[in-house]
Amino acid sequence: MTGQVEILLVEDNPDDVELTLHALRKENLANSIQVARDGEEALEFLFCNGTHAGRCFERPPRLILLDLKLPKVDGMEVLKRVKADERTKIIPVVILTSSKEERDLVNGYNLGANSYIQKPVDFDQFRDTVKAVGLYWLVTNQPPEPNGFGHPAVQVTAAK
Amino acid sequence: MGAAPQLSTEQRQASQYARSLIEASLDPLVTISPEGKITDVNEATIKVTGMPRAQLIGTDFSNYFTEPDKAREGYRQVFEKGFVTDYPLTIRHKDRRLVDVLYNASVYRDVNGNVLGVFAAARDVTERKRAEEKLHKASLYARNLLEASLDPLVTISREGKITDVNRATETATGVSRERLIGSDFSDYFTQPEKAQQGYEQVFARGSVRDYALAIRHTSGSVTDVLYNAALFKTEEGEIEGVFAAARDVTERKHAEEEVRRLNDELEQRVIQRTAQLEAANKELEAFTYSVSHDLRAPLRHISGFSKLLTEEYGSNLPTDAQHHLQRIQEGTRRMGLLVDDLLNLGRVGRHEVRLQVTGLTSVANEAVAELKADCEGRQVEWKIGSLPFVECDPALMRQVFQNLLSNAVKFTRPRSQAVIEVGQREQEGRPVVFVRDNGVGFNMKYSDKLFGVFQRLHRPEDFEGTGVGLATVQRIVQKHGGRIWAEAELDKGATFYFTLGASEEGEPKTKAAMAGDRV
Repeated sequence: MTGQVEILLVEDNPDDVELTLHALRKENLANSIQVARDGEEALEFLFCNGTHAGRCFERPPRLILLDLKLPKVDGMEVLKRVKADERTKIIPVVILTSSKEERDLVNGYNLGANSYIQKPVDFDQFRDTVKAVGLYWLVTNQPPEPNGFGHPAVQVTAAK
Repeated sequence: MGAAPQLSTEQRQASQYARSLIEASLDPLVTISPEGKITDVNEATIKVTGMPRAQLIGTDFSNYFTEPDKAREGYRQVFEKGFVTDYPLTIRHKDRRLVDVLYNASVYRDVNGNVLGVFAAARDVTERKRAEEKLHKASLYARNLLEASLDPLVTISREGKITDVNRATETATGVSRERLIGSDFSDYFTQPEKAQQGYEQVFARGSVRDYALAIRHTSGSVTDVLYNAALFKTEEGEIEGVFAAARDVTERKHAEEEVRRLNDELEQRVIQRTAQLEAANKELEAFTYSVSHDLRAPLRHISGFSKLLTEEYGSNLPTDAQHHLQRIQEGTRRMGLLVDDLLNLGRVGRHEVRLQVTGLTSVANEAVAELKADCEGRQVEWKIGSLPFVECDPALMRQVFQNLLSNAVKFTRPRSQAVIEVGQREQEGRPVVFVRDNGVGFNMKYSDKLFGVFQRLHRPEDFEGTGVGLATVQRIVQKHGGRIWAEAELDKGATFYFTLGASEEGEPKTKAAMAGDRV
């Protein structure tokens, strides 16, 4: 992957991956999408270890689309680790799931999720939703400057 | 005695008076000559012997008794002592009937003191004798009854000493009657003080009922008894002591303990079963949820890919293929609705009712406002009456009105002028809320299917729907301890009625909630 990763899509179901990618590509919203097929892979990508050990930590994704039911490490755990780490906690995390369980909603927001969306069954609605989410977080929403990313102290030390 | 003509009128009258008295006596009276011949009798004698006066006079008096010798002996005693009292004899009637009598007799003399004969008066004691026998028999009968009683019976003197017992008391104590009588009654109980207190209560109140004590047998075994005791008095009303009857309740106590044990066991079992039922219910709900949840993903995929197929290759496909794709789309859309409604039903089932005093008018109005968009281009007259304030879960009640009113909107669609009415009426002192429409209605013979999950009374081509809406409404109403029913006429309209709050169906959160968990 050459360019900047804009969106990290954490989704185990290949059909959902395909449909999501289709929706995002069609709207020209994502120049670069990274797909992680389970929680572990997502964490390795974000924290540049394991299979993603060579990745540069300075280039985080601008949005994480996170499914909850995931093999190995589940979505809630991924969310918890992302939001607990100073270096990754500002990355917007949108939970995109089939579950509408109250417990999941409450847990998700408590752990710092930025949005919670139930995947609509109807494809038109699904496409509209994904498009809206992408537009909002990548275009409408104002993130901090990229060089402001991460721990300030670490940043300063690294600059010298 | 031939001086009668010389008697004065007074003398004659006096003599007649005396004669009348004699004749009037109910006691047989007789005079007997020194030779033992009857010289005079009265009516009663005639009656008791059955012989006419003429046949009696001049005959031997002893002929008329069952024991002539004894009669003569009595007669002899009269001469010896001058009189006899209460001399028992039995007179034999001519027809062999016997009459027991007591004789009182004395000699009678002339003015010079010469003995003229014996005057004897008999008193009929048959009745008295019979009464005495009866008394004796009754007493014996009573005694037998007492002895036959399985309840230990005892009489106690004012000093607390046993004066009488029956066989059952001997059996219960293991002590003989001879040793029991005269001993202190409280010696035979496990709690002598309590026995003493009971005894005192009898004196204080006149009686005690079901006084619990335990009799100790000499062998050490104990009999649980309930005492019923009362004072017993002489005919004159003087207190003689206490009569006490014990009822052996050992068996009953065992039975009671057994009942208690069984009850405890039953209760334990009910608790277990309830827990199992609750667990099963939870499991079922979790299952329902996860099934409908997991069904969503493949549905989304079918919907997505068929849509992509239509969009990307639709123009190259023959009309038939395009139609098939459309059907796939429609099928997934419908299944999506079903799954969502099912999920909602499951959520309602698990939703804990949070009661809050709520004005139903505002809840109904909110639902109406949401539905107005669906009625665009239609003539719908809304009549929202004044509804009661009730204790309910407002979120769930909103759903009730949403479902009922959206049904009303849906089924009035063929009407050029739809009328939808919400109101309340009183029934058995409780408010009943109704939602009425002038829509297509339904046949009442299908009314039992109305609230079943997936039950539909209309063709999907005519009216869309999943058949879950009314099931959801019913579950919510039941969770509130209420009842829902409907009245309708085909092509005339339908009215849905519901009550909320404690009803005969039971507590809002327990029985009703379970009854509703049928999916």
